[in-house]
Amino acid sequence: MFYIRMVLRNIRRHKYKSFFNMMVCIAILGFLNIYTGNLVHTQEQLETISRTIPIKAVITNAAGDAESGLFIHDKRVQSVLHSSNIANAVFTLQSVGYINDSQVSLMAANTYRAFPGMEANNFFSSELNECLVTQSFLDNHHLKVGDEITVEQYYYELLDYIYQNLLPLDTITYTISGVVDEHVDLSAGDSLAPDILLPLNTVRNIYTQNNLTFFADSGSFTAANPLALNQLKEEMHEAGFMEVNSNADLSLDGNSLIIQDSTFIQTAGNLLKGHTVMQNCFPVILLLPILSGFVSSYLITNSRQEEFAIMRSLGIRKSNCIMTFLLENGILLLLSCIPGALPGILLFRIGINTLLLNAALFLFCYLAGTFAALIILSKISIVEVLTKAD
Amino acid sequence: MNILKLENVSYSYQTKYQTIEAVKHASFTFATGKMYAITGESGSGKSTLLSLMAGLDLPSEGHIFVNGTDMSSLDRDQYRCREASVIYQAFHLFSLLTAKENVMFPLELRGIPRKEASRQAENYLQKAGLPEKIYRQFPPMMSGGEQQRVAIARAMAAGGKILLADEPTGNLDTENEKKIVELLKAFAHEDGCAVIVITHNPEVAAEADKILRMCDGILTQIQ
Ligand SMILES: Nc1ncnc2c1ncn2[C@@H]1O[C@H](COP(=O)(O)OP(=O)(O)O)[C@@H](O)[C@H]1O
Ligand SMILES: [Mg+2]
Repeated sequence: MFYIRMVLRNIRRHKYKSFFNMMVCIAILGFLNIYTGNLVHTQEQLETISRTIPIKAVITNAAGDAESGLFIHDKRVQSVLHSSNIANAVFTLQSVGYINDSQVSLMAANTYRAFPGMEANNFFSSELNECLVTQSFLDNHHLKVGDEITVEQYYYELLDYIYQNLLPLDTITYTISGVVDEHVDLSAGDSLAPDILLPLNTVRNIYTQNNLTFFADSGSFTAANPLALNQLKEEMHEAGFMEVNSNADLSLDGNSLIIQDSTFIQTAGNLLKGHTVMQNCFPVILLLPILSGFVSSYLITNSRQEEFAIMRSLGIRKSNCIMTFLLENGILLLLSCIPGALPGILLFRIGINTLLLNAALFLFCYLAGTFAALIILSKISIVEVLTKAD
Repeated sequence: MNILKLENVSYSYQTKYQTIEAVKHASFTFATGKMYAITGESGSGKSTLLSLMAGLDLPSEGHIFVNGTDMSSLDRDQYRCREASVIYQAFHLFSLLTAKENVMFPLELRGIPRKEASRQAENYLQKAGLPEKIYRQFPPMMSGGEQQRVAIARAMAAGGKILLADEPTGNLDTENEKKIVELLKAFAHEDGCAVIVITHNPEVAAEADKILRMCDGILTQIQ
């Protein structure tokens, strides 16, 4: 109680120092709020842009001239599917099979998004032996939904990067769980339109059961966060994807990536650059409250050496002296938070969360600076200060 | 009653280039109810010895006993808060506290409630011979004599039995000097404190019960 009363009295009586201290705090906190306000504002703009202009990426062969009929190694498929930097990954795999000697075309996919026009559904995320079929398939084979079909399935093997070999995979019985709507576009690239659609994982499991490495034949995705594009690129590089090289040899290995970011960069480039610089500078900006906390506290406490020495000589512990000075500064800081928040609110309408976070960050940094100044103050020789004759 | 005992006390300052032996093997015993004067040339180690007795530092060698307890095993902040007060040539009052608030400070620090502290403070100020109009003044507005009397009132308020004074009259004219010395004497003889005054003024020293001399760090009793 005594200490709190002392602190409050000090703030009142040291009115010019308190005022100066508060002005410094308000200026820096105001600046910090404007800075983050600007940062958040650009971030929001960029997010709007990235929603309207998504960054798409397509997996291709090394030369970049084929987007389907590729061999995309399971390792790469999985790293795309499990990346947090990626949204809407689409993988497909086409193959052929036989039902009682009549040939059918099969297509596996990991999402309904592989088929333009299809309504959202969960079918493709299952691992069950179920399939969707076209109406004409049902008609031709005199089947209905709920029936079972047994398919002798084949798969393609890649030889010397360019030759494909068709080999038997397995014979599997599927339950027909639905019919593909008429206006769904199944004309997948230049190959045969499929009769039967399967979940990708179901097919992948068949490969595993037969001790074969799984390959997808086309893959694409969008960047989850266009602002973290570099992170995505780095991750994809680590996953083994290369950049397209038009001089590369002919190959069907799906090991390269075309990231269609030019439109996004054209639209958001400058904004993005500014945003990156501002974001990277933020830790440096935090030096400002630390330094000013140190300098202004140093100046102020330096002129209060005598006060400190008297307190010590009256038997107040060093830690309590430091606490009272810290508390004094802390109260002034808290008072500065309100006017310090105004520019950020007025200019950028920054939210309460950002304001509180900034205030907390500022408080912490500034007091750290103050603390450093106080540690220096507490190192002075009390005797020297007090025995000086005037 | 013996209260402060120096036993073979030495202290040296370590600077980058040399070691300065400021106090050399000082031994002496101070008792309550007496006023002591320590005289000596400037630079002879008087202030250093005083700061050791105030518990602001520990001797490099030897021991200081307070009521029989070694200072090194004492909580020295507590010691300064409850047992020993120091006054200085430059007064060192809190310049932003009024005279009364300055005197209330050690009282409130000891946990005495505000009202009671205020009452006691007025008592001490009165004892120090200060008129009531001074109570609400800030130190920079007071004369040197008044400031030193407030400092003495603050020391009395601290309630300890040891008063250490470093050139308390160094900044004062003869008239004020006399009044301060009277106060210090009363503090020793009437309130039963051990008052230890550093001075190089022979007139002040002559008022003391015992006179010690500091010469090149060596302490001797001369009277
Ligand atoms: N902080 C210090 N660092 C180094 N030497 C010091 C310090 N304080 C005092 N001294 C030296 O110690 C000696 C005694 O000083 P001091 O106790 O102040 O003497 P006095 O009070 O008798 O004038 C002097 O030689 C002085 O230069
Ligand atoms: Mg001295």
